[in-house]
Amino acid sequence: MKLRKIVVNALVASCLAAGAADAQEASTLVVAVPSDPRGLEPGTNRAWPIGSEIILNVFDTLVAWTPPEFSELEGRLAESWTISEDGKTFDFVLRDDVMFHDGTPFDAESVKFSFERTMELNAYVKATLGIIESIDVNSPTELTISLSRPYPAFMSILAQPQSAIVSPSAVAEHGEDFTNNPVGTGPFKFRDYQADTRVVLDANPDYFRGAPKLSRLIYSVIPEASTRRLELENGGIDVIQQSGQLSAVPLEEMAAFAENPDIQILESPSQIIRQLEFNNSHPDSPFNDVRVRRAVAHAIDYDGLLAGIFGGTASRVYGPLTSNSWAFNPKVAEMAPGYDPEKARALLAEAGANPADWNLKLYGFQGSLWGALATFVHANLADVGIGVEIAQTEFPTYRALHTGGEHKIALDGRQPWYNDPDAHITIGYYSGLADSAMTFRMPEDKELDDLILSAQEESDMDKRRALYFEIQEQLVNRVPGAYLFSPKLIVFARSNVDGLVVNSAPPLNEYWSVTKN
Amino acid sequence: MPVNDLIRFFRINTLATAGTSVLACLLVAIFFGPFVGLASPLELNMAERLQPPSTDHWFGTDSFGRDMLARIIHGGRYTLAIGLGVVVVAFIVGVFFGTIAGFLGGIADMVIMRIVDAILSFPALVLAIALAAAFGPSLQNAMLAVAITLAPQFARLARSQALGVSVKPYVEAAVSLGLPKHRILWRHVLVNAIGPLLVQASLSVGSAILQTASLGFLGLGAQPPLAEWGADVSANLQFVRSSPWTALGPGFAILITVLCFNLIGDALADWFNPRRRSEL
Repeated sequence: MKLRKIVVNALVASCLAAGAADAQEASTLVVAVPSDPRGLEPGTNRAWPIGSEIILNVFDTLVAWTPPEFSELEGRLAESWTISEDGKTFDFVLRDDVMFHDGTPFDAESVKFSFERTMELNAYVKATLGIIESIDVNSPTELTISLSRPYPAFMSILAQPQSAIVSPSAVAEHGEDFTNNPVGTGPFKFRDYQADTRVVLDANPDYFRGAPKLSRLIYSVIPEASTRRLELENGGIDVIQQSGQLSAVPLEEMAAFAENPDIQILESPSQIIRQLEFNNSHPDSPFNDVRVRRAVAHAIDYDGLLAGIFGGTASRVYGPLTSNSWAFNPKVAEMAPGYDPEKARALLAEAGANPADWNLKLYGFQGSLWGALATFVHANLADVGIGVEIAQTEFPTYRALHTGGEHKIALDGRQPWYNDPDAHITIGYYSGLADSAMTFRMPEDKELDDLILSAQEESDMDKRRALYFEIQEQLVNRVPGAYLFSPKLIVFARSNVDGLVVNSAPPLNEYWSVTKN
Repeated sequence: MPVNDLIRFFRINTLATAGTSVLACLLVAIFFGPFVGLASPLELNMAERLQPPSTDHWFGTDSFGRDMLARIIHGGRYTLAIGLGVVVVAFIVGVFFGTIAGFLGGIADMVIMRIVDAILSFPALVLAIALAAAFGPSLQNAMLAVAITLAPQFARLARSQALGVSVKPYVEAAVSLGLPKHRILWRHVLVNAIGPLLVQASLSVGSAILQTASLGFLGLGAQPPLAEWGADVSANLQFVRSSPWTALGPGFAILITVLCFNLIGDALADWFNPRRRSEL
């Protein structure tokens, strides 16, 4: 009798437990990512994609780009803001109803604390947050930030993960270990982190925009693409993201998932550009002749590359900005050199070039995407008589080579982290920054440099766009490289996942609005 | 080895005969294939990408529309050159130092063998990866890295052989006759110690090919668009589920070649082993 009771109780209990597990599973979302987040807090974040995305889900920024267009900023922790005439002073009115996960209130002091802390800890933000001259707290909900020079892209900088607001009391409590105990105001609270394994976040029921619809968000580290694919097919994970754009082409997955009714493919154009890049200030390079550069740009079969290697997972790029940028000049699409090997050969002959003596090394990153790209470019160049030896190089070596300016030609790219043409143009083409990492190493050119700086500082948006139009035309005429393609951001999700919007710059997604049915 | 011995060797070792025949066929294909209308291993043909095996493309095509058969046959040149080249270098360096250590003993022995121990204390592939990464990725550097990891095995073996041979009466006789040391070393010691070293060499060809292919697989060996088996397996692995021929072709090529070298090595080991030889 007693035994029977125990058995019945156990059965009932297990049924209940199973029911609870189902309910919990329904609102737990598992996201597969290829590598460890490498830090979970804004102060030390260096744009590592996975950590950055987690930061944006645990913390809030003052402003953020409004989905689904991501072309306008909306207030988050800031309720409203005004920018002074000279573009140097920013006044913010902050929300007064927000609490950090540790129960302390969010206020202007915590904004000042967070920015000053990040500037102190993080050399990575020197060029951006570094131009802040002073932060004045006028009241608990009012704040004034003054810059040392006008910088219209500053608001974009405030939407970046490095500009997220941390809880001062939690920083005081955890000190150095804050990165393993991040405390913010965001829609998810940090729960657990195991290096190279997973990060577990719980819903923040008191989130100021309303509690998220998921009760738990798990980032699971699965380095192997085929394992991620199997897990998604079996329902062990709900979302695969950041699988393709960095080092591999997700063509196989695309083909396999296209016919699977349980899986949806979310695509979004990105602002990432990949190019065949010349060292434009090499003392002794055949590419110092613009006709030779133009010949190379004519040698590349752009559409063949998009169709053959990328099978629709990338789009065409014509110049220094992607076609989805608000400052994109449609005229450069006509000006850009197209695939024309005859013309390439003619230009080489006209320039009196003798490619056989060049002894070129084509440098590039490692990984299957870059290998395929190098192979394709190698064949295109060989077709017009330019022989290159491919050297796929480890990142630190490649970076040193690039900053030292030793290469003549290389495969390179830029993934802009803020939604502003400044992210491509100033860093890539301003001659004063030629020696910083992964630039086109443009030679000093007063006209172009002045244009770039004035576009960076212009606060009137129409004038600014006109300046960037002019810059794009000038750059395309100079042929600093052959613009190859822009990979799409691709996310694979189970079809019961709803409300996920793929963000393009930065390519980080928010899970606040996501539901799982 | 006189011709009669050679015939006897193959007659009693069917597996070695099979291995040698397959290798011979492979060599013929590799050296004469390019002259009988084989497709270019490098030319892209995007219209024919990822075609399954057919009469036009016996082994299918890869993601660039390149004929896999052409790539495997061209790649064979590199792979065989790698296997033999690496072993020749490792053999010469290892046997040179190993024999000196074994024959001279004393301080030379100490120094050489401690260096050998140091190299052997690393797993071979890990050391090769570290060296290849340090030298920079290229086929030559990958070969050098693998040769460095293989040389200590030859040094150890050569030393133990030299130790054994050094105390033989004919060596003592040579010493007491006052022959110069280098002459004794090469004419009396090495010649009589060579058998097991040759066995080791033929077995090492297989592992040299595998290790270099591993480096190629990791992106530290041959650079694209060179047709090299390991690099091809690696580059095509992403298509293995939908177009398995792209990775399986070069993979099987590695498998068969390594197997052949190992079969020959095993037979040679039996041949040079006096006890086993009497059983044959």
